[in-house]
Amino acid sequence: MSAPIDPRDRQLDAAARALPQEISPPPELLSRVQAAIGERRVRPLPTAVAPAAGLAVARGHRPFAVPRRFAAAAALLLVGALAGAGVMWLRQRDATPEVAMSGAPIGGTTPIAGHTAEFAAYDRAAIDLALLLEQRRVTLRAGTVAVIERSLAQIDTAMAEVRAALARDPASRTLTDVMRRLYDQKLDLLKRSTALSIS
Amino acid sequence: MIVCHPAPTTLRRRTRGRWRAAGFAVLLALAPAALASQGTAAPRRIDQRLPLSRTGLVKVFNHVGAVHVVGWAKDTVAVTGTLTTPHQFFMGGSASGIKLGLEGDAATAGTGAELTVSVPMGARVWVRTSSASVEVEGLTGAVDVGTVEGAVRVSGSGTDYAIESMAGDIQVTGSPAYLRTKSAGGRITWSGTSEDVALSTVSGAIVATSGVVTRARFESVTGPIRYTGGIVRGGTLTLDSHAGDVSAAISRLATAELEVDAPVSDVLGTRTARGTGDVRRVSITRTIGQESFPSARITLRSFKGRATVTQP
Repeated sequence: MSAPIDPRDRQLDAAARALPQEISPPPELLSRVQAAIGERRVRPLPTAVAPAAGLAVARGHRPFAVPRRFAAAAALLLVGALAGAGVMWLRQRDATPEVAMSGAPIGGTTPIAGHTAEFAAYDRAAIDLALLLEQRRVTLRAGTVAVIERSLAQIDTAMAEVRAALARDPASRTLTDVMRRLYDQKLDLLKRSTALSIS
Repeated sequence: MIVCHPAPTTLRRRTRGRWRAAGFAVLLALAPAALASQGTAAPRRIDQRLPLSRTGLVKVFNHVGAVHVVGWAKDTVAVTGTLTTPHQFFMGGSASGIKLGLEGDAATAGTGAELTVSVPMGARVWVRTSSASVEVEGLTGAVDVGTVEGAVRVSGSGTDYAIESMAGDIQVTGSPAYLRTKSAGGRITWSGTSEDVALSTVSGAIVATSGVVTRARFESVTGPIRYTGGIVRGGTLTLDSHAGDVSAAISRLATAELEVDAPVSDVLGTRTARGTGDVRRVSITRTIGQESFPSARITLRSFKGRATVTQP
């Protein structure tokens, strides 16, 4: 049994049938669209610049124009300045062992005059680890921090004594070995401490 | 009908009693929360077990309290103990490896947990704690223990031991082929025989009593080092302390090249005094023993302390 058809449905059907099958846009609208397309098609592209003028881009389409050789010189200057700044920063970083983050970092090292390149590399590694440990010290218990600081202080004291001896006897292989082992112990302790702080 | 109303005093007593009962109920309800906020909790017993292959890996985590690992002749890991921490105990894995321990961090662990973990004696055991002490015994596999402040005691016939404690003492009784112990402020004590042993601490003392060693290195920054034992042919033995005394009582020795570098030394009865001026240390190189060429190398160094070599 089908439901009775609503009279409004019949009216809607009839109105739909009365609609035209297709509708053409108004003639003036079509002409305006064609004119707009034609305008874009013929828009002038940036033109090549006369070599004598030495311009890199067309005038009128860039906010400003720079001579090519000036641009190259400026680029060279910029690169040089950045490289110089980088080198200066690296030297300053290498020569400045203690970086204040929250007071003195744990395990900061004071390089000595006359230390070898090997010890300088040790110093850099120690500083990096000390800074890492400093960032993570809040994750460690106060008692653990005290043990680490005390141990590092003992190693630093020992290193200072060996440095003084090395200053008196720079050619001593034994003292160099002692110093190397102290560095190893310090780096090992710093590594273990940072590992503790993230575990 | 007659209705009997209670006297006013009786009503007051009843009301007061109800308030008291309600107060007790509230206190009882709040007690666990209060304990938990202080990091402690009512003691809970645990008793769990899982199957594990004979050489499987067992990882144990427990920040505070104690961990006792025991090897047994079963293919099962069994954990018993008492938890006095709000943290939850976990245990899971497969027949090849099991993880177990307490969740959470050390700061909120309260008084922690005391765990006894029985594992197949050939299992490889890995333990990490903050301040919980660790004791391992009866294992024949590898043992790896790391703790911040806990004391560590390991005994057995394991193949290799790696033990670290930042502040706790380390005591090893056994003869692993490979032994590494590291501490910062703790004392290290070892008794056994090993092919490759390295004991290192910053301020703690090192006391090693060995049958023989093949490659042994003991080092401390400020602590004293004492070794009693032998060294095999071709072996090396190094005792190195910056400020502490170093002493070696060498037994079962054929022939060795001996190198001593210290301000003050006593080498087999020959004593040297502290140098003067810039010559503060005295280096001695000599051969001891009866054979024509040295078969082992012994080195004792102390930057500030005394070096002593004896042959009992």
